[in-house]
Amino acid sequence: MGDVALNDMKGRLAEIVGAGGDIIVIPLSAVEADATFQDGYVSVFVAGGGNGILDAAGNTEQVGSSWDRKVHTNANITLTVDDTNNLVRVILDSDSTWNAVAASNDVVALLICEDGASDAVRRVIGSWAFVVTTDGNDVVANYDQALGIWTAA
Amino acid sequence: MPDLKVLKDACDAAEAAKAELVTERRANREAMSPRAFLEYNDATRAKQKAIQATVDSCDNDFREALKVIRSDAVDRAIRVAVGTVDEGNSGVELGNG
Repeated sequence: MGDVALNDMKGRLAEIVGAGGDIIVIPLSAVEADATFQDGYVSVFVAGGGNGILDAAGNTEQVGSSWDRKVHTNANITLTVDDTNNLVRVILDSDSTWNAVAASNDVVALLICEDGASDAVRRVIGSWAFVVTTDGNDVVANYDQALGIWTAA
Repeated sequence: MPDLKVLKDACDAAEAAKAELVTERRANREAMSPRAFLEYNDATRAKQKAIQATVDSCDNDFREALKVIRSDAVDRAIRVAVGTVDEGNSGVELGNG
């Protein structure tokens, strides 16, 4: 399992952030294989009408213990142009922390999405590999402040 | 011993302020034109950063306090196990006269 973007949404994240959008991170306890995931679903939304990413049987949100969704508001996301590598980088300025996550509430990935008023309007950008076996300790997703969480070439 | 309730209350208050901000942003995103939302976003950048900084700070303080508590608990468990502390007494050392 790696970091995979939905083919339908490739190249969109920088545009979403540039337009003032927020990012929401959703922890997953199960995610489909990379090839299946990136080929996409009927819709690109988190859920709704049975056609969203979380409506698929192989993708399950982790809601146990202290897991919850984390929103990164636009001012706390940095878009940076990398002329050396000819990329645009999307950088989350703050790490995500989940305190004292009880054992047996494992995650395998984080869903990276454009935030919105409901899952029916939140567009999924992709899935970020994040394998954690919980044991009661805190869980921190350290987002790379130099290389970013996503790039567009 | 860190006051976990004070720290937890601070975390909850910070998260509540952020949740209020996020709710406002979601509503405005639906209601405003793209240009208007961009202007609103630009006008509230400082507020967004300040709220996130408070959430991060409170989270950090809470985690640091938990580290101290866990460390103290482990230390005490070891001392009870090796017999230098009576489990029935809170912190009274045996063998002192």
